[in-house]
Amino acid sequence: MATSPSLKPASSPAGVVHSLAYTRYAGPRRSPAMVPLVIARYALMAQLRQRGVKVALLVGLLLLTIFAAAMGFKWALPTIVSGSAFGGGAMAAPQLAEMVREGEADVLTMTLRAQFLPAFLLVLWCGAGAISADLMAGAFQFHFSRPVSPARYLAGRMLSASGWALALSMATLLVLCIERLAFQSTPLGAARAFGLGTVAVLLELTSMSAVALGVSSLTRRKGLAQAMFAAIVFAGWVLFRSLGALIRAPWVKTLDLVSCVDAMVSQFNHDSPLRGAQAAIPALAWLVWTAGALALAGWRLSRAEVNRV
Amino acid sequence: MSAVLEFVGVSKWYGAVLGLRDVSLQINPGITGLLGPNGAGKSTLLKCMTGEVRPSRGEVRMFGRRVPDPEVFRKLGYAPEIEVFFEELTGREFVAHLAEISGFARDEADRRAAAVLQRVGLESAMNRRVSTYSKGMRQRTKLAQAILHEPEVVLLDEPMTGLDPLGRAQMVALIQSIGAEGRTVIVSSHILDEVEVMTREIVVLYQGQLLAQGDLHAIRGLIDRHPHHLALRTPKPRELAAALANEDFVVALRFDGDDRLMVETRDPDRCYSAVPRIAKQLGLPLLSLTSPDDNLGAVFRYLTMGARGGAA
Repeated sequence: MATSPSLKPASSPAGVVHSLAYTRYAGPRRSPAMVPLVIARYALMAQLRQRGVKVALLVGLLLLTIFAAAMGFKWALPTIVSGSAFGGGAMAAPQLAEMVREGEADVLTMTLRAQFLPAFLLVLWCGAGAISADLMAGAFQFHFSRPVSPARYLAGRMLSASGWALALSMATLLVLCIERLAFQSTPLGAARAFGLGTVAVLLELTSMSAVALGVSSLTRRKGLAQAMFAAIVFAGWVLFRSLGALIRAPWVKTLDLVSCVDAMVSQFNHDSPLRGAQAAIPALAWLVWTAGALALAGWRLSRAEVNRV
Repeated sequence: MSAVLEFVGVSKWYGAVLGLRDVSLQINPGITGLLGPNGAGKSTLLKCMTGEVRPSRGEVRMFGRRVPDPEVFRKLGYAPEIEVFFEELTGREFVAHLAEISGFARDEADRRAAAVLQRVGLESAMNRRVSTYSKGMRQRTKLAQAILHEPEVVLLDEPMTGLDPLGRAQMVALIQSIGAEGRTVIVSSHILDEVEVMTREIVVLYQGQLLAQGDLHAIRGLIDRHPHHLALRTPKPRELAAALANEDFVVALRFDGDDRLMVETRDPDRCYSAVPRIAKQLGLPLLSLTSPDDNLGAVFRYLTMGARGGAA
């Protein structure tokens, strides 16, 4: 039944069908798989306009500069000394190999150390309050009345929670790798360090973002969510470290959110104290933190209506 | 042809609190006013349509498909009641963001955002941050994001809230223009006057129950427990009252000032035709003949009084 759109809508108590032949948009649409990227892009744009994010990024850039200068100096020094009158000639091959190995280990460790505080602050600011803010504002309605599934929404929030921290960490890693290449390493060695460093950064930020979003999904109060996240990171670290020392079990020290990634990085660098079956504990701890937090957030999102009543 | 929107025996409990009770209704293209006092279940009904609230019993269908359904959501535009959204974004970015989520490419989303914000009268403010927007501007922004993807169904939850009289008039005109395009527009409101200007099709909810649905005048006709009121203006109301007192369709007569006579009747159609005839026979000028309770306010009052078991 098609009539002119200019016709006045008919009205009747009997409930007559009033078709005015409206034709909806039938042009191209992008795949819903792009939704996480769209959510993340706009969230990152909005975050960049917040003072806290700007400050954390500036702190990150400052630390990047300091660490790059310090590590550059450390790696350049043997070259300078060995080439000078005080160096006593060229270094022996085993000594050189050990120095290169240590240098590559430094890349992983220093990337995480340099950016831990800014990354924590950025995830705290961008991730721990993200779902809480949407809960408080009721902004789910803007997303979920569109073809957006809770899983895609969560993926978008994950990307936006860790986006700026990832950019900072990767920039740090890249600078350190370039320095390695300039002073000590071969292209292959620098590439290897970059690959392992990328994995380490992703492990750290994935677990941190997941936990931040998990706690964020529990409450409408952004401040409370941020406090809970900070408590998990710092109190968890103190708790497991103390417990590990008390019962003299090194593996217990790797159970908290931060240490599990540090322990895996130590394993990458072949200087982990964990042996045998215990070697799997940091990875398992990481998996429990990440999967558990994501499952919690997913469950809360799938029951979003509960939060609104 | 099936209805655009269909509720089949929908009930919703929030724990021990009843949100909706066995609501069955059909909604078709055009503007429909969703009315009810606070807590009547209006927002719950809308959220059932958006899939945000799952019915405890029954089902909601849109275009014959059960909600929630991503394909159905492509045809849906929703302006929720909330006033806080992505404050750091500009109005244009906010709307473009939601357009992209709806599946439009970046350039197309931006073009549509600009066009739709222009349509709702925000062309000069679209590049300002949402945090600087007034309530009225936020309402317009919400409306813009609800219609930017050309949905067939537009749900507006309390779109008049926070608007000044001029803003309300503009919003009413906007909603009317959207309805005139052939879309199915459902407007939840407790401001009856504005709903009445927009549409005669209403759905009335009360304490989670469907109290009435259909054309306002027809619903009024169905409320037979309440006599209809007619207001007559004539220079000699007592002479006219004496003549009308003999008519069996008149229930009561009351004088209201020097030239005004209120007539209560249970047969308004006969009354409407008889009054001018009798006035003519008596040689009395009839200055006006109106029905003060054939409006949404009165119907709403009668319906909710009836639901409460109030006196007629």
